[in-house]
Amino acid sequence: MSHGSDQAVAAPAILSEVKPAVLPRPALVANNRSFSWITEKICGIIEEKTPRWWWVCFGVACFVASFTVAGLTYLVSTGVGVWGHRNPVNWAWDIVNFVFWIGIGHAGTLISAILCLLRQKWRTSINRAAEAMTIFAVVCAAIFPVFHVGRIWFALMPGYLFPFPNANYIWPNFRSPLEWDVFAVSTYGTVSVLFWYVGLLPDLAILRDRFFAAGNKFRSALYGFFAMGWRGSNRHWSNYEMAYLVLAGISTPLVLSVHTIVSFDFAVSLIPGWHTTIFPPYFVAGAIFSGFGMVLTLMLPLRAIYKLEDLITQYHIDCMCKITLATGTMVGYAYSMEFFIAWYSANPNESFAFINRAFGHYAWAYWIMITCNVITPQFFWFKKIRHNTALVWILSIFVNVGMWFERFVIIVTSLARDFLPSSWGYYSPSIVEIFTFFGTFGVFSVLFLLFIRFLPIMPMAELKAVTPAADPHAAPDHH
Amino acid sequence: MSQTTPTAPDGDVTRRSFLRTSAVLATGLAAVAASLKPLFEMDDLPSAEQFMQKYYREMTPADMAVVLKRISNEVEKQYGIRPHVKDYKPMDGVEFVYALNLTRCIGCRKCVHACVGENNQSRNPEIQYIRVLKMPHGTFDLDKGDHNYAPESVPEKGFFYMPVQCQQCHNPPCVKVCPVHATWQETDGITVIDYDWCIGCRYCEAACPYWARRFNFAKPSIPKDRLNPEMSYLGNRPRKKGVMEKCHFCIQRTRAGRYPACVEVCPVGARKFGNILDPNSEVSKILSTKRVFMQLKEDVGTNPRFFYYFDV
Repeated sequence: MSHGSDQAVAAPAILSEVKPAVLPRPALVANNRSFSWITEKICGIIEEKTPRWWWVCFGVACFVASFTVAGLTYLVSTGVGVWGHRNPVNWAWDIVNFVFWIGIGHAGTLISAILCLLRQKWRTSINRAAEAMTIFAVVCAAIFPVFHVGRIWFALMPGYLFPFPNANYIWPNFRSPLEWDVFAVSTYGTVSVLFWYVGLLPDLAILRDRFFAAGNKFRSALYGFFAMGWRGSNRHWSNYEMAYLVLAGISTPLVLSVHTIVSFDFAVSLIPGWHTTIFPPYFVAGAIFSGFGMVLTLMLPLRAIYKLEDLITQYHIDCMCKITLATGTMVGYAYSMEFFIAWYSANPNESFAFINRAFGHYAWAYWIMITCNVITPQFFWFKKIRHNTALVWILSIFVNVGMWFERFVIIVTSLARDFLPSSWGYYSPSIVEIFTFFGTFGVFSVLFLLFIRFLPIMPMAELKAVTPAADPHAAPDHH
Repeated sequence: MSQTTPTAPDGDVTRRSFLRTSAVLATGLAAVAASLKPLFEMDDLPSAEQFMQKYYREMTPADMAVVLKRISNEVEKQYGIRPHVKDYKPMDGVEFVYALNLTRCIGCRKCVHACVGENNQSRNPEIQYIRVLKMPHGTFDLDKGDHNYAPESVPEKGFFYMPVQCQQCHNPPCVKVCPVHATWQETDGITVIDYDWCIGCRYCEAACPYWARRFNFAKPSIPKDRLNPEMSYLGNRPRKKGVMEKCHFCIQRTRAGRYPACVEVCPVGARKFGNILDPNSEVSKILSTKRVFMQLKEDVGTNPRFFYYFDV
């Protein structure tokens, strides 16, 4: 795929007439870094003395996470009434937070699976951290549907939500979208963990060997256990590549299916504002949008702290910004299409639901959503903004906020204003609910900080494969 | 946590940092204690027996007898009254429908309170199955409905009243969305809930277009002297915290050949109830001869068994 003069002998004559522009591809590892530099850089993060900022962040994260633990304990022992849920708004922050977190997880699978199959090699610098983010986001997401039920001890019993083979053929209700959720989320979680772990194998072996050489027997044994005897033989690599490809194939439909099924929770119900066919694609686009928002939020500080500019180059940030722009625009299109359908369907309930969203009691939430999700990503059209790391980071936070509000708008406005005006209500969260949600950021941060400290944040082998040194006979811009 | 403590440059703990840390720790401990307190006061956890209980439709009569005995014991322990709990089964050749005369209803809400008493609904927090909408004459625009009216006397001039409760749909959206089959439609048309099977996800409530379902957001409480001891398994036995409940056409009465409590109490005879499969029943005659105004929200396709009609 090289362009330009080096193949002029074989090139068709037309090329000399039109003189196509030479489009050099940006290097994925800047400054011609060597293999050993990459290994030292990534392993150095784990091997160095635990930095002070890490302890501070970890302490704060543990403290914040304790809010979730305390909030959930109080919830289970007292009843769902300690949250702001009342009739008629019986689902609120619980489901909002669930959809929010599960949406964030989507970027990880997209990066690891779809970009892998499409051979988008820029994924190598960010895929490990994005996959970790996915798993931790699924953990945070799973908290909410599990704990929002009135009787968690039954919900977790086999035979109720989880199918349990028994002599009487009593199975869960497979017609219920909530049951589909159980399968969608647990499959997603399992496959994400597997994919992540398989990708980690060669890197765990590197750490095993390095700790062994450094005389740290305990950590060497620990990494060795999880590296499952990886020796880097040809056969290992061959099996590894195949396993990785198969898992990428399995994960690819999951990128689309998980949020499609989450959207079915609403789309299958009759409530105006929920009962629409546009939900699945709209939710998937929104999930990828929010996921990339979160990847940017996490990776940019990491890049600055560990001086990873040679590995997460400006080109990587550009790519992520462009995906955010594309999915954000899709989400904006979905918002306008919802209004069009509400009008075009001539269904008074549907039209009312949407007019109410934009101008009713929750209009403030709606306009926060529009500002953050439709207007914010449009800034990424401009190269200047994409090249301003601090600004990109701030805009990525807006994306996260906007996507939380999107779920709030969908869930709460529709329940608060449904078919019978007599059963209208207004929802506001209780302090327990706010603390519980706030605490999940702590849970997420605790897990992510542990990940940074103990696992390689980038796949070293894959990074080496995209350096120019890995392909010395290729054209200068080949990768 | 210790690493976050502000320390003096040489690593010693200063007086200020010590006080600050102590204050934070004390507040934290108090908060943890407050959030843990209800955990130790929990007395409504299910027994091992209940955990091992079979699903309603696979229980044999012997299994059911054991369960009914357990429920009786629980009620007796909590309320000091030995109840008569039965599992009433649907009768053959019966499909219940409800007809409500909008011309007659005066909005007195006697039905609401009779229902609360009959069906052992929680008094605090208050749970009621029936809501009465006050509507201005000359319109069925439900935008104008108000269920918070409190006049000195009803009926007020220029208004009519429309009670809404579970519509016992032919095509109930609530049943479809229940992930665990804890709610289903019986052969006599009544949609029931097994309170021992419900996990409390509230999806049915989100799916119901009538707001007919009520969730026990907190531990229900009923004064001991107000308990109705005539109970049924799928009907009015006391509910636990965290389960869904709703109108079940007074299953403990109607399946034993009596009228629902709301029909019996209605002072103006606005409420009619009976078997639609019997051509000579009162409801059959009403539906074939009266001006039946509607099934509520018929455009959503739920096809209720609850009809509103006029005397004209």
